[in-house]
Amino acid sequence: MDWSYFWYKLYIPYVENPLLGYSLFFLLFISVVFWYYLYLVKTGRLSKIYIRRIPALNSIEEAVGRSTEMGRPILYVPGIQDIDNIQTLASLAILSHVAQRCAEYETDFIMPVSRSVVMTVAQEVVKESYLRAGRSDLYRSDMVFYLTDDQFGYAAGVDGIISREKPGAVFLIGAFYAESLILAETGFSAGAIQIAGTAMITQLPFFIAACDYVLIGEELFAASAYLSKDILDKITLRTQDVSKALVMISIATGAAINTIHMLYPNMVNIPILNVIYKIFSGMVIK
Amino acid sequence: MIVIEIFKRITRRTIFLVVAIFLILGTIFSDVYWVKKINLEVLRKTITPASKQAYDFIESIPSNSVVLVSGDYGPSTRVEADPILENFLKQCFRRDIKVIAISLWPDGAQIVATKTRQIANQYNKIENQDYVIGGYVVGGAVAIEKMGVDLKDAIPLIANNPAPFLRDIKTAHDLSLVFSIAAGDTLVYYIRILKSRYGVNVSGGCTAVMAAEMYPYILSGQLIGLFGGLKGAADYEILESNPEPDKVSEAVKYMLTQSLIHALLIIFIIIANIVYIYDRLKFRRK
Amino acid sequence: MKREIPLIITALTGIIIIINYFLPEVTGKVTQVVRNWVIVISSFAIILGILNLVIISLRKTLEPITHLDDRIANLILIVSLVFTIVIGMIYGVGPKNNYVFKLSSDYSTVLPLIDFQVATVDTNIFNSVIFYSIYNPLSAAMFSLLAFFIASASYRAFRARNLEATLLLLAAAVVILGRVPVGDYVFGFIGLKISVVSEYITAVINAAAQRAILIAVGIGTIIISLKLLFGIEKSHIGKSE
Repeated sequence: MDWSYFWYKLYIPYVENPLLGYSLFFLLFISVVFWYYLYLVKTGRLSKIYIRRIPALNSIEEAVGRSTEMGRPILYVPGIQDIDNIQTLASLAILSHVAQRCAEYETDFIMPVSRSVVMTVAQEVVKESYLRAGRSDLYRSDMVFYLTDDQFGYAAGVDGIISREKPGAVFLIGAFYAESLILAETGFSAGAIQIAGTAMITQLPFFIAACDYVLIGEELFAASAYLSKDILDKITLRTQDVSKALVMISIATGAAINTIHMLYPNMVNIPILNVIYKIFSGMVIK
Repeated sequence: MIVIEIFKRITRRTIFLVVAIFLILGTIFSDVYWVKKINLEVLRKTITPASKQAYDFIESIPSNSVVLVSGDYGPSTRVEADPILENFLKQCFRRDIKVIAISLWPDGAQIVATKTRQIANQYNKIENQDYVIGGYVVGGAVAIEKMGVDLKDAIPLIANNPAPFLRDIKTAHDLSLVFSIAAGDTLVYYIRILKSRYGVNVSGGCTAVMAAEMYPYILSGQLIGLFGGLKGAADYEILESNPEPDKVSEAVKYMLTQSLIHALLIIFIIIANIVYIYDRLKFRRK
Repeated sequence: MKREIPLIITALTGIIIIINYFLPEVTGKVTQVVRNWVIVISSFAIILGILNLVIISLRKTLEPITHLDDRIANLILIVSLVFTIVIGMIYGVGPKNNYVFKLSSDYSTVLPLIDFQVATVDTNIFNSVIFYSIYNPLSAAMFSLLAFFIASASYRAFRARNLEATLLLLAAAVVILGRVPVGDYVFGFIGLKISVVSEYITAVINAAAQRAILIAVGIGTIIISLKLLFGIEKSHIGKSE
């Protein structure tokens, strides 16, 4: 095997597209931080991580409780994206918590799904949750069911279910598109407590206008760590904070060095500043 | 005070009814000559910079280059997306640019194929010579990944196509532009995968709801330009054909309907605030 | 062991795809296969979904305990599903262009001139009836509900409760008016180009906030993916704690 050619092939994507190098650096940075915290936990040096209160997650109990009092079911919508979307996965982590509460309170649970793979996984999650609550007798396989892959067909189907079943609480957690407001307004008119959560930036305003509690962006990803008692789950939040610090420092440095370059072009010739300038001007897309 | 009592009686149904009346009126009056004229005059002066950037880039592509157009929308968003696709095809065919037309949505394939053939007929372009139709491309983000490695593997319908311009096209890197008209997240996937990983030029259009989300990408240069919603479509039509008032298409015409509804929204917001402030003052006095 | 095997598969496939992103030469061939699997599996999964839909809808239609509305809705669902599949199988989805004579009239003269034009029309029943005449207007109707819901949601949400809410309200008003010609037309009388102000709000203030959320979401996504790869996140195999 011609090794020099092999190395050349490995190297060439980075010449063609320098941005790839930055991505690689960032991924490695996050991984190292993650491993570091994993190591701290495994060796017992880190045992407690503080997480600020997330009102939307605390309100799950309230929502399920209220539905039980009113004798109405709970409706859970995991977004319209497939299992390959991280938001759907984050939603499934919250689902297990909600389903467990439903099992404990003996409240009826409805979950229409728009992707068949998500349906299979969600059935498993709900079943497990009912088992954990010790109420596997209450679990029915038709609690989680498939409607359609079509965006507005799904919205129409869920709207129909909301207006017929009149759920006491509606959970809209996952990746949503234009159907977000259609679902949330129908839930509002049915008088349900609504808890929403999404990382789709353009849909957040709609949820904030029409729902009682909203998980905004990364809060959705923090949810599984927040709800879990396992410290391993919580180290992700620490990693997230350290990574964000790196991003903040990069933005500040990049802005500063480019401003210096604009105002005093000669100052960039100073060796240290020159290196920093080269790193950060490489990020500018030509 | 009677007025405020009337305002207080406004319910969801009242709002729906008024919106419906205005929508119908707007659609009827959008065909009146002087309305179209005023619409056009104002629109000509207020072309969105993002639309101009997208248009100028396509103008700068040399003729006989190959572009990929991906119409990733269903029938629900046709009003916004169809005019963008039409004008893009017109601009390409006018400038003798070769087009590969696909859709990542199953229900978009039909629309894209019909529209492409229709516009091509107007410009006397021949299928499988000046343009090819790739139909529905299955896989979403995975298909986009595949395009970066092997375009013909990702779009099976063009794999054995005899079109001469396809001979030199191996990967997405050989394309001058990828233009995605998205009602969902495909435009973001094109940016994240084809632009960031493979350095392909990406531009596109999207529904008005999503336009705000795309701004960070436009400012960073990852997205060349954007036609956002019906306003973007109207901009494109004016840039491409600069029509006379009696020859404008739906995109410009329906700006009247949109204007009316937006004005109505402002009126409703003002009413809501009058009632709110009145109530608060009354409460304070007590 | 039942739990470990899926976790190992997740980790392996995930790592292969990540390596391919950064070093395409190393796992290029394997990734190609994995990508094809994704497409095949997700295409076949739809059969699973449809089976589930049919079984549950049939049960709801036949069970006497279900509410009458619900039974009718489920019956309609099954009938339309079968109808669409049958028509699609018989006629296919390819266009079937036929030349037809189309009546057209010319109003430019005093007496309208009526004549016939030859036009091509897609006469495939699946396309012309199911796709363009049923599916098309139904989807558009669902999407257009947004106009009504946005009106009622903004009526409720945009109240000048405090300073922040007032600022939000003003920014929203400027953007709402700036995106349409009427804003520029009305404010043009006092010499204000509201579309420029609106563009500034969208491109500077909005984009800054969007970026912050976007970056945080991006980092969150990477970290959840890492959790998946290391087998800490188990929600996708039905186990959470």
